[in-house]
Amino acid sequence: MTTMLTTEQVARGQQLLGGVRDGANQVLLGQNDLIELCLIALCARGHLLLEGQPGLGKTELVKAFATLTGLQFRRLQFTPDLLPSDITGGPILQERDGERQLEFRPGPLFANLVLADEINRSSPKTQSALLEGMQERSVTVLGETHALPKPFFVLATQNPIELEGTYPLPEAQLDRFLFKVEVPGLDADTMSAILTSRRRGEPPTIGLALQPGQLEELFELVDAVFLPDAIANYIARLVAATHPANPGNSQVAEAVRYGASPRAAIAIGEAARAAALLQGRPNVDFDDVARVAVAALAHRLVLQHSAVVSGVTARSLVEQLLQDVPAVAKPLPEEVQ
Amino acid sequence: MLAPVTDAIQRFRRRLRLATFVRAVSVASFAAMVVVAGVLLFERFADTQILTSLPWWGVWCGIAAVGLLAGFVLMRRTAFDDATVAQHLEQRLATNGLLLTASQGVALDASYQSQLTKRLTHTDTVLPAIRWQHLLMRPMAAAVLVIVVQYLPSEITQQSSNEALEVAVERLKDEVEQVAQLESVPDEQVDELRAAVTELEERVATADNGLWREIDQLQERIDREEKLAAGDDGGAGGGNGESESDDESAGDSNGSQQPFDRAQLAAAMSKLGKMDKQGKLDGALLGKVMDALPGTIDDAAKQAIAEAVQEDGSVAPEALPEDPEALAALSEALAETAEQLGGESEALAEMAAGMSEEQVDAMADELAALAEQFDAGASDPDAPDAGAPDLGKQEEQLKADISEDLAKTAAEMAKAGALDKLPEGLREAMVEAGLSALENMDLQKLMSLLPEDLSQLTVMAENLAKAAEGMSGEQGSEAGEAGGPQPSEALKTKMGELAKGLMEKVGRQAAQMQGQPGGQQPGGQQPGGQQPGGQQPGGQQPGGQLSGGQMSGGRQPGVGTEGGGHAALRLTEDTQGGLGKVDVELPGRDPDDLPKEWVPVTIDKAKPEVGEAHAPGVGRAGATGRGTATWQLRLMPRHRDVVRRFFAEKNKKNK
Repeated sequence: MTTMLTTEQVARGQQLLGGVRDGANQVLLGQNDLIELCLIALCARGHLLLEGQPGLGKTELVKAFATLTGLQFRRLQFTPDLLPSDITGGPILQERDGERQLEFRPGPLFANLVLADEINRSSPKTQSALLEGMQERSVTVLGETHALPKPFFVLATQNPIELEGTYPLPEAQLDRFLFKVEVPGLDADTMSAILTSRRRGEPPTIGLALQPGQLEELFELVDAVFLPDAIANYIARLVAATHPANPGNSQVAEAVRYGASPRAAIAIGEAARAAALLQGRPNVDFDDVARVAVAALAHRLVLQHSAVVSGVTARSLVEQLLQDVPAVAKPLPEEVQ
Repeated sequence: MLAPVTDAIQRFRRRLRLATFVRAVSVASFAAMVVVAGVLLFERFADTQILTSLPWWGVWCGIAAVGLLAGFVLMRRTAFDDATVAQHLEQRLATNGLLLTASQGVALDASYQSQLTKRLTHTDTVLPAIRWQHLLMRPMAAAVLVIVVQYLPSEITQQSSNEALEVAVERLKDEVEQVAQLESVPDEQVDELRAAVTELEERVATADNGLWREIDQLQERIDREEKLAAGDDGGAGGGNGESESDDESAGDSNGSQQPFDRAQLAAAMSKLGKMDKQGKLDGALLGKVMDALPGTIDDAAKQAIAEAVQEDGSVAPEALPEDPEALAALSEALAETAEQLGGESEALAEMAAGMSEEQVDAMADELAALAEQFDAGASDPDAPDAGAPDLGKQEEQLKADISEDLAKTAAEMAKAGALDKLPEGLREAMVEAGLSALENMDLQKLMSLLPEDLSQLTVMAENLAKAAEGMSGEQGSEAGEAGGPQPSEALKTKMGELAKGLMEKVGRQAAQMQGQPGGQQPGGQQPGGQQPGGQQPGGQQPGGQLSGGQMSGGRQPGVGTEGGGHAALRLTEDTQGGLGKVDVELPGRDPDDLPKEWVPVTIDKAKPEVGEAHAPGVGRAGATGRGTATWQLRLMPRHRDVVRRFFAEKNKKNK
């Protein structure tokens, strides 16, 4: 018989996650939902793409997570002249014991937490250099494959308004991000709090929230969260409903050109586990799926050109699908209430 | 699985099964009651008894049985499994997924188990409630409908039924009055029909069941009387003489066709009887006649006709079948058969000697001149008496001299359709004189002179038949109007028979070409226009003798036949006429005699097609894909504002 997390284990998980969340909340004020989504992505061992206007604290958030988790952090500022070898590293000629030989020198990608700042400013060639690292957790240079350190996260940011000289990420790379989170703006109260509590906007100094080994413990707890068959079926129906061939509603049929991949369903499942643990549950519930579905699905939908011009967004489509796709596949008769 | 979880799921499931069963019964009983209401309504208007013969409790029990049975079946089909029930229960109890986890057999921690157990205590409050009002609304409405239809006042449905009956009886009444105006219908019959209609009128008020059937029977009886009356009227002049009957029958063929000509049938049957009495009609030949009859006549009718021919040649009409259409078709077939079995046309067929059109035209001109002489001599009342004997001698001499030529000319002009050009007096005199000579002419010699080409024979026969028909129609009408002498019936008959002879030859030719038994005439216009194109025992001599160069009919036993298949082929000189090998000397080759119509065939190199030279490239002038890449460029959501701004600025500049 399968056993699930005990109350103590769930509480332990909540405690660990709560520490990271509280620390991040000290750095980034008024962005609790964003922080939780980032935490969920981190627990699900997925990569995160933050999209927002400049000055919203995206970079600070990533740096705060690196500090709180104690992970090795590297920052990559993507520019159009950035080469793949600049991020993956490459062979250099070394002389040892009177012999010259090519020796691989790891690039900034070899870190636990990589901040790919303004990732859409680099060329597609450089962007694609991230593909193997994000999916396989390894880098291949000159036919030699080098494993990336564990855990490995890529937290990328991109600016949606400065589009000149940028290279939009291809769908294959977007699909490798577990979440794409749009960083919302701040309200006046939050900005007032920032002004009064921080000089020159500098965040407060924070310490480690997770001791060495606790992150691995957190990962094990997330993996132990139970995903019932009914919920897995709901996730599958939700992802299948994004395809125009089998649309969940008429809006999807008209606006979506390509639906989400099975990788999206896997991402939702893993993220829902982390969300359940964050909520203090030993198992996934329908609410956990609804909580992570928008962030996991929206960037994976390829919309029709007409839909884009008419203002339809993938986020609104997913939100509508969450209402249209029933949690139970077989509804009760109308004569029953 | 925890016991409370199992118990809760089963309770929820039982409630769902009950709701599903009630819903299925509701739907099924609703459908059954609608059907019953429809049947009851149909019974009311159609005056039938399908359900009304059953007791009312039986009908309702039937509805209930159908509803229960269908409900049981539908409930089985739409049953909810435990997993689905658990999901619905999870939705209602909001156990944060613990119920789903426990229903899959996962061992819950004690605290979570206690949480779940605590939530399961509220199961009774979340069990599905059946919306009885929603479920029973449609069945109740259907039940009310059935009751209303069942107890619908009979006057409502009876009225429309009576109206239809009254209209039908009124129509019958009108038709009886129409029949009463026909003189040939006996008064007793009319009175009887009137009495039947009156009886129907009285029964309409009661709207008896089966009244429609009686109305239909009476309608058929009135129609039959009308047809019989029409047949009597059409054949009323039959007893005045054969010629008059023939005229009427010819007129019938050109005008409206009578469904049943009793006189024609009687004449045909009488003729058959006489032939039988003379020994010309043996049993085999009668059987052949019967086989040649149209297929619409069944065997019983044929047998009745055979029995109707009496020993003395008379016909017993009462022994004939009563189907007017069958009798009509039978009468035509018998008349046609009798005419052909008469055997009087063979001699006249010899007249159809092959002559050129120039000869026919010259002879027509000559005869026209003679006609003017006849007319001048006959119509000049002021001519001196002394000259009359000379003129009579001259006329007799002329007739004697050209009698044989006239016979040939008649056939030739008939072939060419030139008889219409002749004056009436000459036409009659020529044919009378010619026909008297035709009887003594050598038939075999004339027939051998006919062309062997089937198409020429066919054209000749059709023209001759058309001429005979034209003579009978035009001469008869014009002479009748002028009060002059009637056109010779012998002329019409002989010309018709001459056409028959030609048609027989055509038939023989066709049979030889197709390898079929002789006598199968090609469907076409028959002499006199009286007989439809059909089967005729053409080429059959009286007594069943076959003429030379023919194949037997294949049905006559004992005469050159071997069973019902193909008959033996008797090859004679005639049959070999078109098949014999003839040596034809081909002309020598001379280059100067080559045909000039040939088309020279040459082989030319194709001219190169030089088009506009250009070097297409992406975005360059002439490139096929120019603009495609721009058009297909996918506009990302974050680019949308930039694109809009770009076009907005561009529009401002343009303005």
